[in-house]
Amino acid sequence: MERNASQSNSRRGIHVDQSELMCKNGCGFYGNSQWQGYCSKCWRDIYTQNQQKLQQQIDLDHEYAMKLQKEEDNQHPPPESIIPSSNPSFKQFEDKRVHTKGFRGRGFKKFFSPSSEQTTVSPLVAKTKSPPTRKRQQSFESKRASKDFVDFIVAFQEPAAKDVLKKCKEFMDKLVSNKENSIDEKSDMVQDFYQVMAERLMSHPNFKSYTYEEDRNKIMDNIEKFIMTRIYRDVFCNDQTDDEIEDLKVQTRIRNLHWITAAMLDANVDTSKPFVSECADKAITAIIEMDSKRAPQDKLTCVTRCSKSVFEAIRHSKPDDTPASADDYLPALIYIILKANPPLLKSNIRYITRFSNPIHIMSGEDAYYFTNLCCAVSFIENEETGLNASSLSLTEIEFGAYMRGEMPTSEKSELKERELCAGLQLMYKNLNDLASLHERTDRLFDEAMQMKKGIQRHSLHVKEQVEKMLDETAIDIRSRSSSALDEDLFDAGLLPPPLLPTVAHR
Amino acid sequence: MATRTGAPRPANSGTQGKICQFKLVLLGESAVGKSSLVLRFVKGQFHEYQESTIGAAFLTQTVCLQDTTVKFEIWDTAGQERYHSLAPMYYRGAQAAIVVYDITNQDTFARAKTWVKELQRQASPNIVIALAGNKADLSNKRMVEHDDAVSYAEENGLLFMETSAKTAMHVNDIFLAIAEKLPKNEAGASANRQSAGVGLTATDNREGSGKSCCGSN
Repeated sequence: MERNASQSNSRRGIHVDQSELMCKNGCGFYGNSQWQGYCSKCWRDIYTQNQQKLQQQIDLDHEYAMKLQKEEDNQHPPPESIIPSSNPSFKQFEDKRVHTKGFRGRGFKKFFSPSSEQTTVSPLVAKTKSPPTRKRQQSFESKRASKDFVDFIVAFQEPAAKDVLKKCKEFMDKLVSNKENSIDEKSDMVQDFYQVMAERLMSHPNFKSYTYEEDRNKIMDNIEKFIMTRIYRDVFCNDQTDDEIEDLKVQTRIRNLHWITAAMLDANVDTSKPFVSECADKAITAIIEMDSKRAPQDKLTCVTRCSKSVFEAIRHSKPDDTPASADDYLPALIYIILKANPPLLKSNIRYITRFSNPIHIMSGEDAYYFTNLCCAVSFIENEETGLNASSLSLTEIEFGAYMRGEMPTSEKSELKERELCAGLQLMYKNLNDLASLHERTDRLFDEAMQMKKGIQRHSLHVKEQVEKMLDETAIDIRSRSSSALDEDLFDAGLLPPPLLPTVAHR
Repeated sequence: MATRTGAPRPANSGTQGKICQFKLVLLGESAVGKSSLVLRFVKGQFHEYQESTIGAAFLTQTVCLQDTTVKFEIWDTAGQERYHSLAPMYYRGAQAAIVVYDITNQDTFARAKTWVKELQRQASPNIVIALAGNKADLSNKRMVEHDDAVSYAEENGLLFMETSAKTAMHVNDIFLAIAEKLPKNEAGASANRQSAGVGLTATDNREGSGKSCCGSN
């Protein structure tokens, strides 16, 4: 009994308590930290509940949007009658609108529902007789985007809101019905849509009240964000393209270039200063974060944030306080990208290029930083005119040795040391000191041992010599020892016997 | 927004005339004073700078002509030789370029000439190119003769001025001269519809359009 108890005690010491392994719901099954401590079944229930809550919130907004639409329908004749039909690019939209007119009442609902659901309802796709597929779960991001977009639309004035919604819906339908289009065709469709919408915002009477450029840009940004978040999965790092292969290539290349130092690139980033190293970390975080964003403008914001941190790092690395120019900025950005090795770099750049509203990547600060990012990546991946031996002022042999990892890494370890925080640096310094102390002690010990051996050898030697000497001189010594004064006399018996006492006379 | 979105730029109320926005790239060897020149133009300063300026790589400045307001968006480029091959990605879609050299250094002038040649061959056909001989305050160390530069500029149809970022000599003038020379009609807005992409490879030169302006009234 006692043995059992001690056994269970020791087990508790090593293992997690049983109760912690069980499902938090107390259903008796094991839970899993991946499902926040629930078992798979309970987790699924809880997850769907949460999703429903979110969905309810979205539905509430939908209702409001539908109310808006109905009121609008009752009050005004359909707005298409006002549209100047001169613009040929509107024509197809007009046609489609007539097509979908019968479904007007369901417009908003359809628009915000998962796209596969749309396909079963949409008359366009119904013709292609696609079998009703199982209801696709909308991703969390898509729902969030829908919600944000509805919030935005709700804040809008009515005719304009209605117009934007309708246009977006039509466009999404069109995209869905052209699912097998190539990525470039999709990119063209999206770009055309941006342009059509931009022109519409400028000229259509529904948007009369939006005279300020910022307002219109805001609308365009929201449209872009909504559409791109919804179709992100389909168009980002698409299977039809070689994006993934390119991603891997760049990633491997950057990994092989891990040995490059800021000094080799002439990048003015002195990471031994704590503040600079902090800025560099911020820049690295920002550029890595780019991959987690969905909308092109959010990705661009990450690039800009990264660049701002790079500038900050340069400013604090420079001896004089002059603002950083492009001469400083590009090498530093290249260095940061090499250190960050951001995931899916090429896919992200291509996605932004294909689907961003050109306003953002052709002009403005974001565009400048994005162009620099493209330049940096192009420089890194290009072995002929970009990052190679000559551009790093190395010889081909040195470069090759670095690439194969054969080069002594003195610079690397030096760099690493510089990148550490003060405490760690002190620790490493102490370790180094201890190591040298250890070495010296060892040496001292060795010497002492040697000395001891020397002494032993010496005493042996002396002993040997003495013995040898003794051997050589043994006879003399014996002779000398046998030269006791009366020895011969005793042995030889030459002497007359001692006189004996005798009685001389009676 | 050089291409597709040329049109949707602001319809600014017609009272104060047009506003045109132009992209201007700065080219030239490193250390010829490209960024000093721009800082002088944008902030009116040479060495000292305010806290707000973190970088001098991207700056904007607006100048007013009689009937138009021209907004320059100035893109600085890395001047080091090793980054030369990336330049087309910067000057794509630019309506103006300033090629800067240092009058005390003959090599920078030679380099400027190669920039000009490249721009004439590869940038948008109607790009306005200006040549700036910077560091004119150091004329006692002059290595590039004024007349040589003038005749070179004339041959190639460039705007030319010797400037000094230090004394501010001709700094505003060169930007004003460019503003004057830029087309401010809506020709640009007719934008042929090329791909709006910023390609990844330096050689990818799909886009030629010069064009511009926002001033679609």
